[in-house]
Amino acid sequence: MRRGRGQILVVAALGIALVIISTQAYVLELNRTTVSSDYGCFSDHVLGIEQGAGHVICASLVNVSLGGASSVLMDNLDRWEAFVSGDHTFGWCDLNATPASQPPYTEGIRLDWGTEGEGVSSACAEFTLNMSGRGLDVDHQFTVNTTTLLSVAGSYVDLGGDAKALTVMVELQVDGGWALAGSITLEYMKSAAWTDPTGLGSYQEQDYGNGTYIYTFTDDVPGSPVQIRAQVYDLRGVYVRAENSLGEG
Amino acid sequence: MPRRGAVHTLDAFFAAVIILTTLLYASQVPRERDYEASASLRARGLEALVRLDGNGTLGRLMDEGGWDEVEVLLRLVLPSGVSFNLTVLDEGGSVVNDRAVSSGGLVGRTVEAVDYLLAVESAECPFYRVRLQLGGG
Repeated sequence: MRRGRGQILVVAALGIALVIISTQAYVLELNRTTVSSDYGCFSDHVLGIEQGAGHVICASLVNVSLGGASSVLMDNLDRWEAFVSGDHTFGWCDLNATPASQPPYTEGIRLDWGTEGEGVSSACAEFTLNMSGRGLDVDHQFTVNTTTLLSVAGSYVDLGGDAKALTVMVELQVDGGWALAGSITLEYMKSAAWTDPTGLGSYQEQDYGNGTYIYTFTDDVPGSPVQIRAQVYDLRGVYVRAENSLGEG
Repeated sequence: MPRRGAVHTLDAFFAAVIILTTLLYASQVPRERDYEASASLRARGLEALVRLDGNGTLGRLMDEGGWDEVEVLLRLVLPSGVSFNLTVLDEGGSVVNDRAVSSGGLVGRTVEAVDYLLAVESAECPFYRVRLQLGGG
């Protein structure tokens, strides 16, 4: 009996070791399957729907800013709702979109191409995403607002007679950050007609690479102030326009 | 008698060594595995598509029929050792890609598929269902 006591001790130690290792393995497996993979997939799925909503808003703004009807936004949102609701990857899915209706938005669109040096092309909508089934019950709300803001400013130096040296600064922002332009068309009013300055020998253009562009040119422009206009397409294709009156400075 | 005591001491010593070794091993095993190492093919595929669609690049390339570029991007974003086959369907369910977008066939013990809904940032705003099949493991 006494001889077996030591063996029992060793066997008991082996049993305890087995229990410790089994528990550790179980906890690890539980972490791996539940947390990492499934939650990551679901998060990315929701993120994908949000990204898609953003692309729909942007595409609609491109269309409307190029002269399309403002109802295009609602039509596209209806299509996106139906498209997303037909997907059952994570169970039953329902997406509802409401275009912003508070001023300055109408049907989710704001096109404010002013003559005070600032032009805005913007679209905004609120979304509610409901997902249920397959162990999920999610009610997620988010807002998508995309805005292209153009600023035009400058001044001229009177060179005598009608001759003027103009300096124009064009700045572009997309969704609150400085952004490069896809293309910029600058014009100034001369003899009651919008005139392209790029043909002038004195014309110079400087791109600062951060959404700021400086233009300088000299021409005979009667009267004061001098009207200027910039028409810009951002890199997504959204059109925006702004006008301003340049004084002597 | 002293010999028996020595045997008991040795038994107790062995038992203690077994317990201590087990505890040491258990503490060495990482409590949370690296996500990249344990992520399923499905998670990797979805993450890749979300990343490529972030700035609208994926949608623009598909709209323009730039299937070579899409294939190159997927090769870059997906980990080496993961094979893929991409099919793009329009809103009506018709296949859009007129050529195979693939790493050369699905290879691996595990094959999984992921669907991704995509809207293109263009004036027409087409929608696509992107089906990415992945092989690996």
